[in-house]
Amino acid sequence: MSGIPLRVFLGLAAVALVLAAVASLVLVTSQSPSQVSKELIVYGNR
Amino acid sequence: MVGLAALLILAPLLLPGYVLTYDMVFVPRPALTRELLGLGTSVARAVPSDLLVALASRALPADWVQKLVLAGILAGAGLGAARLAPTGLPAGRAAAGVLYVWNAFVYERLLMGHWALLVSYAALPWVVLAAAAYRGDGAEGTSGAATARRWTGPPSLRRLAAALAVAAVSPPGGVIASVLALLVAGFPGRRRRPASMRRLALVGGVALVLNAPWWVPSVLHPGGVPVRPVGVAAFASRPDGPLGTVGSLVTLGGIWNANVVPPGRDSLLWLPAFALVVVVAAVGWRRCVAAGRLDGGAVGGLLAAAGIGLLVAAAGALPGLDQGLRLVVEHVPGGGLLRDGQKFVAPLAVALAAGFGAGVEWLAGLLATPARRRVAACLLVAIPLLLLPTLAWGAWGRLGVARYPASWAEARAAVTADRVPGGLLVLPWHLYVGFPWNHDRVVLQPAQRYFPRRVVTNDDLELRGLTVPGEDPWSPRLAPLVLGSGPLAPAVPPAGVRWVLVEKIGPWSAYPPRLAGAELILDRGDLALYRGPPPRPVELPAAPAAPVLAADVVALALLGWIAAGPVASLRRRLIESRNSEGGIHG
Repeated sequence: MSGIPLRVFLGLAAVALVLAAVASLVLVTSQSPSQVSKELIVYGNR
Repeated sequence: MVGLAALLILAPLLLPGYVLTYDMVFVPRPALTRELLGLGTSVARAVPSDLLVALASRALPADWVQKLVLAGILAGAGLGAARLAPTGLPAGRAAAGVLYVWNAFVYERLLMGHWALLVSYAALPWVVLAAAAYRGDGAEGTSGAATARRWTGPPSLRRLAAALAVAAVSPPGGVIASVLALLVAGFPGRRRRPASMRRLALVGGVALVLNAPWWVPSVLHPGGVPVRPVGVAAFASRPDGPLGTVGSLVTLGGIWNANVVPPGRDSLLWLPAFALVVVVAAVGWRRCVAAGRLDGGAVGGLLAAAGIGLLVAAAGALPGLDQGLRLVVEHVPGGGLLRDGQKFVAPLAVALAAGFGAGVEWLAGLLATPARRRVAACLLVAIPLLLLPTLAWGAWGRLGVARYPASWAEARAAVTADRVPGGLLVLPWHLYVGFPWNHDRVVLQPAQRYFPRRVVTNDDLELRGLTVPGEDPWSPRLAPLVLGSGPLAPAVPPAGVRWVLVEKIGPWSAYPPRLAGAELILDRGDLALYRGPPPRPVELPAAPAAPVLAADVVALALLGWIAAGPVASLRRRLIESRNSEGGIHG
């Protein structure tokens, strides 16, 4: 990491972790316990 | 940590019952049929995986077999990545193992039910380790001795063959592992010479023999393996988030089927953390090679495999390359393996996970105090879980266990007791179905494996707005009869059908009136079983038995040679231990 000061890199890493934690929390609280496709016959959907 | 991650994913799936999702179909005591050897009329896509399950189900209940397979995949994958990670730091190894087990690739393939491909995926880190050790002589690592030993070890063709044998459980996995082994063993490098041409030829030969059980029947399939050009575009990798197709693949997602994409992939918030993973992995590899801890040639081979895999996976979506991919699929024998290209990012997952493990050691080392280092290590190990929290608990409830209703066993008993030959037609006329007893999860028609006689149903892959024609030669003969509106009872025996199973889902109620005249053998809440008169025999093309069985015997002999190594070693240790005990007492 020769191009970026260590403190800046560690700060960016911390911000990335916090964002991921927030996204993760939002995601799991907004998910219903079971999201099952109700489509009877469709193998897939592009 | 790897065990904990595996348990977090699999916990709800360890209850009694079967996990039935898309292509993952396990049934109680599957019949031993010619199809399992690739000698049926279908393309040998599930060879030898279905055979191994059928044999294992003779020793254990099939749902236990399935649970052992799933647990073995995650444990084997995680431990392999942890061992491959060029770091002595336990947190680094844990980070590598957790990332390799907990990512979008595993999520999507698990939901698609591609368990055999995941077996191959689990074998890849072991393939890299064995192939790296199989390179030519040269200087060993100068620091990080334990790490270097794992990567160099004693060269052993038997060890490499064992890893390749596990990967050969699935056809595409066998191809990925073979190319990976050749690249890691043969990539130019200065510290250790690449494996000689003789050694590489041996590796190639071993890979060919181990994969023969599926490629020999495929090559000999009458008329060749059917080519479906429409499938090239249908199963091409696709963007599942803001990064486009290539970005989705780099982040180990990008599967063609939008129904199995992890929730949250369309968000931007997880991207900085994934970028951190990539940066840490890149620094980890660079420092290991620069410090002389690893053989740059082996690392180069792994990274080359990752790059080639990414290119193949993205080919269907890149202008110019998509035409090349279409040409290969349509005109090169075996080119169909490149369909559903996203699976080829598996070597990238290996490189990312192992490099990440090495990078964790570097990043933790940047911090001043042991307490900070510990906190940082814990956070880094947890990143994969933050990136994909919904993989936990059976993909957040999208996977679960189900039991086949008692009616299925009754139907099988009736069909098994019948000595008159003839096929079993399954209605409604769909290959993928959802059953209320399986919580409506879409699954490949389980009757194909459940009943001990040839099952015929619609073989087309029905996508939304598109149908990819199937490959079974029997199905098109029945399709006009089933899709018409005339009586079925007199029409199907001349087409070789003895039994008709009506699963009471979807538009099932249209069928019983059309089956008037056939004998109703079983009528339960979820199915009805009809029997017709002895049918007319049907002639369907199949691969010739002799060369296929010969290929199986040669592959089996090679497996025997692989197994002989550990057996001899165990025997030697036992004798030595007895002798030393005798020495003490004597």
